[in-house]
Amino acid sequence: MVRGSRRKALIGSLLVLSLVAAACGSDDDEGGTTATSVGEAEEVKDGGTISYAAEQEPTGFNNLTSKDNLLELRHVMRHIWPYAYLAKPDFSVEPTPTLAGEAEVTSQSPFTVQWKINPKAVWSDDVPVSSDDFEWNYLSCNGKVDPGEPTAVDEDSGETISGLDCASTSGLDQVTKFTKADPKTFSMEFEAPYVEYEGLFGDPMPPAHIGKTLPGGWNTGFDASPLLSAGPYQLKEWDKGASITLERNPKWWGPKPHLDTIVFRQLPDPSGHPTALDNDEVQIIYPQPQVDLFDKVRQLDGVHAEANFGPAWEHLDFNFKNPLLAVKEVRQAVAYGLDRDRYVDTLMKPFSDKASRLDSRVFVSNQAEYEAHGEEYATRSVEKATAALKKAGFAKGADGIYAKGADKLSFRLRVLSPNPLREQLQELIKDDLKEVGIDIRIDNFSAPDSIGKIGSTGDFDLFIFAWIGTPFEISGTQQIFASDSDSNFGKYANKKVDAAIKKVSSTLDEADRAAELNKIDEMLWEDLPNIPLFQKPAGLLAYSTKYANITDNTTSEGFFWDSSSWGLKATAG
Amino acid sequence: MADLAPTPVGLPEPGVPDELVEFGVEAEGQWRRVLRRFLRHKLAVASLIILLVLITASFLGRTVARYGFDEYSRGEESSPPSLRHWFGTDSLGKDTLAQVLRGARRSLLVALVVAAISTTVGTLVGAVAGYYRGFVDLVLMRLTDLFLTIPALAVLLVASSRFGGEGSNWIAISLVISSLAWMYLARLVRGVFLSLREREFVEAARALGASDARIVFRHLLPNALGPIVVNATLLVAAAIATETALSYLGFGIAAPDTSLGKLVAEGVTAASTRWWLFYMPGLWLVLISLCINFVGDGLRDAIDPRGTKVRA
Amino acid sequence: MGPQGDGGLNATGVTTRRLSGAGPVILGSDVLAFTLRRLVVSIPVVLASSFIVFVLVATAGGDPLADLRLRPGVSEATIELRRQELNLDKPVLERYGIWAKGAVTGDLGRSIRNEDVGELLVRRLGVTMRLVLSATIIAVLLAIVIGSVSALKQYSKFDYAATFASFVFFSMPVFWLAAVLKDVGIRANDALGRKVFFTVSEQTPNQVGGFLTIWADRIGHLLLPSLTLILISMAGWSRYQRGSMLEVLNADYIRTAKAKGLSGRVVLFRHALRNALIPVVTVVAIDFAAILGGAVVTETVFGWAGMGRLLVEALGVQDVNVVQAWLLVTAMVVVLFNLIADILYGYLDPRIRRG
Repeated sequence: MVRGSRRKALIGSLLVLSLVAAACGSDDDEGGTTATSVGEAEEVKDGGTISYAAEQEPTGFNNLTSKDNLLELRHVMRHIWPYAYLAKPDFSVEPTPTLAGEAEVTSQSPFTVQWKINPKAVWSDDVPVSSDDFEWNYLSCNGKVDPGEPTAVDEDSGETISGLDCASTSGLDQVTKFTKADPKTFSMEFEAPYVEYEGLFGDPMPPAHIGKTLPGGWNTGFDASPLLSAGPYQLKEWDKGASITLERNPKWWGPKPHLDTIVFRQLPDPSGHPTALDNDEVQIIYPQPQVDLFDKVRQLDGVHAEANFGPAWEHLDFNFKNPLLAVKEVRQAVAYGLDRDRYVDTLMKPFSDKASRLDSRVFVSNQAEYEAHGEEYATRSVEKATAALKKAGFAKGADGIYAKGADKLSFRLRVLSPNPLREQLQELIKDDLKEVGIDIRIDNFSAPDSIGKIGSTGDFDLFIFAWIGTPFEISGTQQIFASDSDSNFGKYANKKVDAAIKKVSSTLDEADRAAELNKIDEMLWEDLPNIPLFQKPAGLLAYSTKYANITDNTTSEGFFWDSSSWGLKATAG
Repeated sequence: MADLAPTPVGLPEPGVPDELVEFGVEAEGQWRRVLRRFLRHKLAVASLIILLVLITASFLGRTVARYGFDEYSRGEESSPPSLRHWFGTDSLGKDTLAQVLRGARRSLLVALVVAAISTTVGTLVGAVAGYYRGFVDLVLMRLTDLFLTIPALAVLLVASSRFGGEGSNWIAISLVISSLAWMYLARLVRGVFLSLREREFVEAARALGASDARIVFRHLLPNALGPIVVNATLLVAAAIATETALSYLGFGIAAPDTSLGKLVAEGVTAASTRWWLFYMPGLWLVLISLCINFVGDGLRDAIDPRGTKVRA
Repeated sequence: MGPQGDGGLNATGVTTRRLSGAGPVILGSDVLAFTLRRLVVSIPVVLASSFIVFVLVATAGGDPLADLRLRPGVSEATIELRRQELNLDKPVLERYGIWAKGAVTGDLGRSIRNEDVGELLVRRLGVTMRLVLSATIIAVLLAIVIGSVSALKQYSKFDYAATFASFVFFSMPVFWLAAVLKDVGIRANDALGRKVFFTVSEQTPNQVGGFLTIWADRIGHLLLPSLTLILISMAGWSRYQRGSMLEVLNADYIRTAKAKGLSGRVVLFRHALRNALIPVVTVVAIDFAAILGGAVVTETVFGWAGMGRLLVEALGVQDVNVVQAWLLVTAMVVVLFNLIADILYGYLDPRIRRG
């Protein structure tokens, strides 16, 4: 079906991040990441083109503005503009060729980090990529009003605010000083130790030397074209509504890519992607999980398909504002009553037999730091569920539903529709909980209502959606479980958890961080603010076997992460 | 909206067949003639019978399917048609035939409600506009134009975000589709009334002191009844088609409720992998629509005899 | 849905005139007056419609900024900025006023993602027109032929076959048909050994070559979607043509002409066909307006970035400016085509001519 329920964008599934240690990647394990060993690249020819079926169309090229902060645009821009780090398929992180090595902490107090830019890095008009570019990015995205910046007025408070539209200020808003030591070296001072500095400047950034004087500037100056490139490709043509074509950047200073052009075709209906692949109208697709789609692609000849589990995980949230759900035993009863293995078998196994139940809220099963907690809820137990309810003083009514006086355990379960997978999940849950004696009413919503809206207005009793993690950024636990967070839809509050979260955000040692996060998860299993269900495949990577060296990457870097080594097979034909 | 709600087929022009001009005493005999002509249409009669069978089966539900629509046959998920499950099962192990029958019930209900509402509203508006003419006519026709210009999807958007909840969204869908469908009938009835009211018998009735209401109901309306009935019939099929298209776009009947349209829309991606999820509801849907359309066409032929072959 | 028309020169007006013995119509000035009157009366209708739709969409209940608010790292300033850009801080009436003022001066505003709405609409309209025009022309021609032949040979095998086929296509969900056609197209490609049928989009990106190559490519992309539309539209229209042809064939003046001894074919072409064409023409004219905004499903399935898709996308994010502009365009097309249909009908109908 059509409507954007499975948009790959950052819209609809909110960003949550698991803190991760840079070092330990993990290979194949029950989490399901395939080995994606980039080791041996196959022999490929030079030249040729590849077309990709993209679901969303941008309206401009500055990926950092809120209007164009789309994953699909990042796939385009990562080939054109520079950025600082690359997330690899095993969730490890390394600096991109734009940087000359990793960023260094040069001082603990004040916490200062220094970056060095690759001396070879240059824009296509021969101006070097310099600290000026990073500075412009910083100034535009720090959330503050800097001298010379366009401003606006906040109508409610009357204060002057920055007129620059930047989709992510996290981290940069903690910077107190930006120093340019020389055109290729800069450093930033932070208010307090900021442990995720490696995650800064992670999105492709525009050229400062022309951008500042462009009509429209940061916000809209790059709406027609990226204008300059510092990457392997540059924009050749944008046929609005139809396609974006990239061609080689003659001024590219790194290892030459094999393919001459990459074409992004705008095809918003994902159910047409397999057919387009079959008909050779596109050669690579990445549709979201949908059983028949996967099966259909797997049936095609001359196509390689793989589904890998990514950092997206599905979960069931409780709304603590509902007095019945605020009772711990009720939540426990729900947790005991769910048959999570069954859901995995029915809904996820068709995609990959590596699918499994998720037992942690802070790490996903591909990560080395993953620890399964909440053992008592691992398997379904109707007896334990009813025992918990009885303990809290609920009694089974004549209709089979537990109640305390006039308060029946009847809840509204909501998802963003249309979404066949989630709707099926709802049915299974309803069935399972009915046996326990809890009544579930399915009450879904659809666009223009969104997960953000329903969540933030607390218009639900039970809510199912997914969070997506990345290897970086501030702990997702802070975002979801801290009592003052906007994304804490259920309004769960536990001072001990708040304190633990504060502690971990300033813990510098990675191993310690992992241990502390796992402890937090144990606390969360005690309280049950939500129940993790399972990890979802990031998508199905499917491409024509005429090509080689295409590997999946389930982080938001995406499967284009190694596009420079893609090419048409050298074998005869 | 063309592929959202295809044009009802082959409707007569808004002129009045001469045979139906005389009314009253003739009325009964006239309808019997219509019935006779209809029965001569083998295709239409066959369609009517098949339709009745399909409808009965749909409402008998569990009796026919042998499974409830919310019964999960564990261990038999996604299985093709077999003796146990005549239409196969879906990924949760639910019997497809049971789903199809359930969906058909909902689709038929929506379609009937739509036909009822839009026929009533359309006839009313058309009758009043055609009978009173002048300013009333002007206002009503502009109102009709207004409805014609408002995009249905926009109205649906509001309807779906306001009326949610288990099971109640079909009412909203029905109302919205109705709001798209009454306009044509209004013009049709208006046309009939406009042409008829000048006739002598109306003058005569008025001279005899008959009230407006009496003239409308006893003299004018029966003559418009033919086209109205045909239109209503075809509207049922058009409503099913509209709801199906809406489901495909994501605006139709909401879970956990289901309709034929929703089943087919969901089954599209399974066409080559689990064909029974696509073809079974699809064929049921096409068959029902086909039969309704044939019946409507048969009615039209029966009511409008000038279409018959000239017997030399 | 079928011939519309009201006031003055419409089907019912014709009948009325005939019955009341009105004299021959002087068409020239009447048509002009009729047109002007119609256009003037349409303005308040379109205005009212635009107001209703604006309010509906703007107050639909979603929050365009909801997701933005929750993304980590999005500053208050950014949210406030977007809020002001989209005028979400103002009451609905004021927002409508802002839009209306702009619209009257030709400025249709900007979309939620800062695209120029006018440009966007022109582009999308172009896409839809290219699809719909070709499909409509072919469908009309086919419908006239099939309908006429069916009428001439009523109750023959051809008639039954054509009737049955029409109804089958007519009863099929569009996306069902489209999915089947796509499959057939791919198999045909395999059988033919070359890519004749394309399943997505209007053309191959970066197609090199001369005029012929480019047009061959475009036609290849047009085949399946227009076939879908043709099959669906033709079903209805051919039935309509059959019906009106039958009516004309049985009309008195045709019998008179036959009795006068004119050869069958002459009678057919000269009198019957021309008169039977009128209703079809009016139906097509009206339907065309509907198809323009209504080929949503076809555009979606085949990935054409046209008007139908535009509305769905805009509604999903409550993009009022885009929805309003869409409405204006389609309202104008509806009014225009209804007008043309009524004029054509009144003009071409010989019953008027003969007074």
